[in-house]
Amino acid sequence: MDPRPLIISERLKEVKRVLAVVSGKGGVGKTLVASTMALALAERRMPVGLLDLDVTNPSCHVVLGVEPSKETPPEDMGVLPVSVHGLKFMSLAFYTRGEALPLRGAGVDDVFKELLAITRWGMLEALILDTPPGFGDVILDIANYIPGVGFIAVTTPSRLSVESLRRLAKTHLGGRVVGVIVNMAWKGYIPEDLGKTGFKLLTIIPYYPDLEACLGNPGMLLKTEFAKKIDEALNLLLK
Amino acid sequence: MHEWALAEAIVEAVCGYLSKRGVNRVASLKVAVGELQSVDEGILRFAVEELFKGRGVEVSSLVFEKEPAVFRCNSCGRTWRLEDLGIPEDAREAIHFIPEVFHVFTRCPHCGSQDLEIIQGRGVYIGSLEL
Repeated sequence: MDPRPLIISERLKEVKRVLAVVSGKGGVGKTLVASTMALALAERRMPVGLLDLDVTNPSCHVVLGVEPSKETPPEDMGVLPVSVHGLKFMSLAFYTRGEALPLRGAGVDDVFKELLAITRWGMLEALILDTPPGFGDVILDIANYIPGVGFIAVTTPSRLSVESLRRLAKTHLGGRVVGVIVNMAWKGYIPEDLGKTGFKLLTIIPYYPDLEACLGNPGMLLKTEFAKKIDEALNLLLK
Repeated sequence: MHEWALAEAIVEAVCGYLSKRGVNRVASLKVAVGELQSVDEGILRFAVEELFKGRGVEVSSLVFEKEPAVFRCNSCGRTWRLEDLGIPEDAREAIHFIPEVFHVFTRCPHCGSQDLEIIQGRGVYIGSLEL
C-alpha cells in the first residue's frame, strides 16, 4: 500500500485555494503566468505559494531569479518551501541542481506524490501550480489528489493552441477550468473558436518582446504591462 | 527529520484503513524501506510509534524490512544494484528526499543511458497489514 496519497490532503488542509496553470501546448507562457500570478498575489500581501510541477524540466526558479544549487528547502518534520520575494516556493530544481530529469510516467507520478507528501505549506490563501504542457500524468495526478483545484488554461491565439483547449473542454478535466488567459495575442486578436470552449475569458495579454529582460528580476517583472494584465485576471478570479 | 513526514503518511494510511473497519488495533504491520531513499530506520520507527500512540492505535508487531534497490535500463535492458551505480556522496541527500532525482546523477553503467527504471527498493511503503 502506498502511504502517500492520504497525507496529501492533510498537507494542503490550510491552503484555501489551489490554482493550476495548464495548457494543451508548450511555449504558451504557463511558467511566466504562474510565477507572475504568485508574485502579484504576494504583492497584495496575501500568503501565497508557488509549486513548480513541471517535474522533468522545471523553470519557475529562472523567472524568480533563484539559483537552485545555492538554496536548500529547510527540513522540519518534512520539508519547508523556500521563502523568496514574499512567497513560498518549491521546485524539484532544488534537488536536481537545476538540471533536466528524464523520467517516464511512473517516475513522474512518484515525484508528484513525494513532493506533495513531504512539503509543508502551512496556511496559504492560494497555491499556484505550474505544470508541464498537455494532459498527462501531472495534470491527472493534480485532478485526482487535489479535489478542489481550479485550472487556469493558457493559450496563444494560434488555432493549434485553441484547438487543444476545445479538446480539454470535452475531457473529464474540462469542468475544472476556472478561466482562460490568451497570451502573446497579436493586435488584441481573440480566436473565434475560443467561444466554443465555453470557458470564461480572464484576460488577453499582448505579445511583449521586452519581457524576456525581466526574467530573474521579479521587481522589474511586476512593473510590466504583462503583470498588470495578470492582475486583471486575478481580480476576476478572486471576485 | 524528513522521516517524520514519511511516518505521518504511514500512520495516516493505516488509520484510514482502520477507521473504515471500526477498529484501532493492528496485529502486524510490515513497512518496506527502500535502499535508494536511505531512510534512517531508527527515526522512522520512533516517529511511527509515537504517532500511533498519539492516535490511540495499538500495533502488536511493527517490522521494518529493508528492500535492496534494483534498477533496469530501458535502453539496453540490463539490471544492476545500487552499489554498481556509483552515485556521488553529495547527491545522496537530494535522492533521500526525492529518489527519482538519481536519474540526474547517474547513467546506465553498461550503455550510458539515463532512461532508467527502479524495479524495487525505491522508498517507503506498507508491505502488509494484519488485524
